[in-house]
Formats: sequence, structure tokens, C-alpha cells
Amino acid sequence: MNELFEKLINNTISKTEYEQLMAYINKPDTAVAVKEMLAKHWKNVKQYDEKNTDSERSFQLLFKEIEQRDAISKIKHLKSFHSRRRFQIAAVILVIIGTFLLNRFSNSEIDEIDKKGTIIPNGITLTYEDGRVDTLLEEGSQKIKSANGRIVGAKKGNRLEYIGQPAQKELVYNELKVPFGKRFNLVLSDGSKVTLNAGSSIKFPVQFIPHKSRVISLSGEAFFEVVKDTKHPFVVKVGELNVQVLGTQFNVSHYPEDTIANTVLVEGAVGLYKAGTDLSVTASTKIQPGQKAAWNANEHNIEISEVDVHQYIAWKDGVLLFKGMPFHSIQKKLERHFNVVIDNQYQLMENQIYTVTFRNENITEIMEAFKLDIPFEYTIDDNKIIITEPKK
Amino acid sequence: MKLHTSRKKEQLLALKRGDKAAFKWLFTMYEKKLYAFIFSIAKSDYVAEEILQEVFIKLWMKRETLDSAKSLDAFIFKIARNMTYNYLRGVASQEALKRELWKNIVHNKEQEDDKVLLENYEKIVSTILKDIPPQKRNVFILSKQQGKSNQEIADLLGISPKTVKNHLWKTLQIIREQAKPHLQKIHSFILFLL
Repeated sequence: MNELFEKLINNTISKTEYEQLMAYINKPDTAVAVKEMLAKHWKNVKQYDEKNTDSERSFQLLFKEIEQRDAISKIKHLKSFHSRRRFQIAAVILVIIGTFLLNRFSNSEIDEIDKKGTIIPNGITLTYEDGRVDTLLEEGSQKIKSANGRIVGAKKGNRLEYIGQPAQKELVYNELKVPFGKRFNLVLSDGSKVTLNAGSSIKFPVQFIPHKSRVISLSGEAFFEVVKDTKHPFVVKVGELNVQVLGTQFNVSHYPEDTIANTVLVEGAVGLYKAGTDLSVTASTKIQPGQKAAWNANEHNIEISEVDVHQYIAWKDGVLLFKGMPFHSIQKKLERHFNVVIDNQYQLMENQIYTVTFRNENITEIMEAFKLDIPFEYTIDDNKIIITEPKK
Repeated sequence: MKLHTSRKKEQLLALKRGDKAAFKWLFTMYEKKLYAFIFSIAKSDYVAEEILQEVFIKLWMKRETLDSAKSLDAFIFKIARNMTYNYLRGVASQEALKRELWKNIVHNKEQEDDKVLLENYEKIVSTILKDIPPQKRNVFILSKQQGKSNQEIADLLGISPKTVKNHLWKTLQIIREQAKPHLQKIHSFILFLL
């Protein structure tokens, strides 16, 4: 085992050896031996300078963390002190102190780390299990903590990543909301990746629990890359529909105003079934890569068709791709993508069919492009665009 | 860490009193080694930073129980060892974490390999450069290793940009020619660098 441990350190361990070593560490009676190996390694470890942080800042962050924990333990202390006789009053004091601390932290933070309780209009928000709401900025990094102060994930740039934790007994949910005009990336605790399109929200467990399905709920549109785990099926709930997969890439789209939920499969296999029922071979519908399943919520049926997958997932790379799509559908997508409201007063445009791709164009350039096809007039005022018949 | 034995004693006593400056001194002192230790096992910058932070938090919390007769090294190591062990045990008991660590091992391995290849390549190139006329060699070093533009090099050496371009081209030809037999096993991306 010593040899395998050394190989682990040097990154020369093979997959089989790795499994062997992990199985060994997982045994309850090997703790002393493993700690012994760690001790030996401590003596050999060379101090290297690759750690790329600035020490001053690391220390400040560390001390802030300590102060925060100190404050929490003081509150707990206060609570137990008062709880014997003056329980109700203690509770009030607790709330006030709690709020005070929260505000103090948010004001004194350097950069944007842990901006608790500050909500920026039209920002990307994360709602915690205890109801706290954080605004996630698209730049910089933030740490994500559970109610008990444990770090469960981190946000770097426009990506929020939850880390796997030792097994938990209870499912705890966070909710991520992406407003119009933005997109965001999420990595769940099992490593599955989710790209959220504008105007979408997703509710997911901070940590998946062994022997249970991985269940998340979605409103809006998201692209999933699910880590394969046959023991723990991955289920996406969209309205009344459950999309179940084992490990695969697919796109699900179901905005509140949609009657149809579209699931497009890129890779692997997915099954769809009505919420409240179990996924069994008879009740579910399966689709193959390159197919789209359209679930009609009003008629309770699923229609399957072959599609050009790229058309449905181009959005995740920031590309607006419309193929043979009527303007009224394009309008919805533009509104979400740019966070604008489009008021189309020109009847003729409504059902006009377009095939067009936009990459980095802004909304004005896009309007100009549409104008080349059928002439029309438009005004942009703030976030509102009004389309009118061309003057004769 | 053998250095400053008496200084350490002093700091340890100050830490026991809750002296923040002493804590900071210790942090700067141990940060790199601890990081190296934890990273060599956890293989992820993020995890290593987290554990590192926990180690120091624990050290701060337990400062009053520090035994000034014993070595600080041993005390800090014990905390780091236990936390790293807990991490390893957690990984070993959970499929998702186990996969994650494996992924990071593979990733780190690839990075190391690339580093070795790059070093090899640099060695080969510098051997070849030795036999190249000084003017051409200078042009190559200024361009490829110091990232200067042709115009800058021309100004520096008092030659025309066109001569710079010619020199560069010829040197690259020679390197390509001579390095080829050595570079067969090396990644295509290095050949691209040439």
C-alpha cells in the first residue's frame, strides 16, 4: 500500500491501483496505517512555489472566516444563555443581531465575496435552503455556504460549482434563477453540468443522497451533461413531465408561457413520463439521439420527431439560431436573450418565416437584419422595442 | 523549517495569547508547505485551499491548548494530517468524489507530461542554437523567447526588419531540420510552436 500511496502522490497510479488504494482507505481499521503514510509523506514534501495566491489576501480571507464563525458561535452562546428564562425576548434579540451581522458583513466585504442579502436588480440569484438570497456576479469568485456555515460550493466567473461532500442524510435544495439577458453554468455535486438559458430557474439538491434518484426541477431552458451513474437515475422535472436519464447530453425547454415542453437528445438515452407515475417500460416514452420529444401539457401527449440537434443547443454557446421559425417565436427568444420587450404592431411580420443565425450582433443590428427582408419601422426606447408598419 | 527555532517559540507563546500578528507569521511560514502537502493528495486547487483554511482555523481555535514545550511543527502537522485523512476517507467512501479525484489525477499527470516535454524541447532547441551564428541566434531568442516584434528586434540590433524575418525563417528551418529526429515522440503541439 505504501507503494500505491506514493504512486498516488506522483500521479503515476493506474486506475486499478487507484481503486485498490481507495478500497483500502475505506476500510475502518486502516486509519492508523494511512495516517502513518501521510506522516512519511509530510517529511518528504517539498515546499514549492506554485501556489499562485497572494499570501496577504489569503490571510485576510482566513481571518474573516474566523471572525464570522466566532460571531455565529457567540449568537449560539447567547441563545443558550437566554433560553432558560426569557426565551421569547432572546429570540427577538437574536433576529436583530443576526440581521445586524449580515449587514455588517455585506458592507465590509472586500470584493464581492459573500455578499449576503444584497440583491441587484435583474441579477442572477441563488436562494438557499434557509431562504437567504445571494446575487451571483458574472465576474470574480464567491463561496457558497449551507445554513450551518459549511462550504458546499464556489462560484467562479459565470459558473457555479457544488462539490461532492461526505454522505448526507437529508436533501437540501438551493434554487438558481437566471434573469432575461443572461446565461449561467452550474455544476451539481455529482459533477453533472447544466447550462441555463436566459429567464430560467432550477431547483436542485446541494448534495445528492446515495440510493436515491437525482431529482431536479426546471423552469425555462437548460442543456444537461449528466454524469453516468446507473444506480442513481437523473430526473428533470418540467411541469408535469419527468425526463429521466442515466448519463447523457440533452436539452430541455419549457418556459412558463409554453404549453409544450421540448426535450432534445444529443447523446445517450432518455425516457419521459408523467409526474406522479413511475418510470416503467410501458408508461414511458424513450427517445434516441437526434430526436425531439414534444410534451403537450394540455393534451397530455408526447410527439417525437427527428430534428437538427444543433438548432436546439446553439444557444448554450451564445448563438441565436433560427431555422424556418415564425417571427412570433423568434420574438420570444430575442426578448429573453436581450432582456427586452418587443411590441410588434405590424401584423404581416407575425407569421413571417425566417432562417437566420446571429452570433455577436446586438439587438439593433439584429433589427436591421430583419428589416432587410421585410421593411418595417422600429423604435428602441430603454428596453422596449416597438415594430410598426413602414410609412408609405 | 529548522530555522528560527527560538523565533517559533516566541510566536507560539504570542499565538497562545491570541496575537493576530503571530498567527499571521505562522500562516506565511506554513502556508506553502501545507498547500504542497494537501495538494499532492487532493490534486485540486480548490479542495487544497479549503482544507488549508480549515487547518488554520482549527489552529486558531485550539491556540489556547497549545503546549509550548512541544514543537509547533508537530502540532500543525497533526491537524493537517487528520484533515487530509478525513478528506481521503470521504473520497474513498463516495463514488462521485472518487471519480472527481481520479479525473484530477489524470489531469495533473497530463500537465506534468507536457511540462517534461516542453523542457525537453527547450533543451534540444538550446543545443541547436549553440551552433547557430550569433546574429541569427540573437534574433531567434529575442523573437521566440522574449516575444519581441520584428520591428523591435530590427531597432535593437540595427538591422532591417526584412533581415530579421529572413534570419528567423532560416533559424527555424535549421531547428526543424535538426530537432526532427529528437522530437518524434513529442506532442504535435510542440512542433506547432516551432
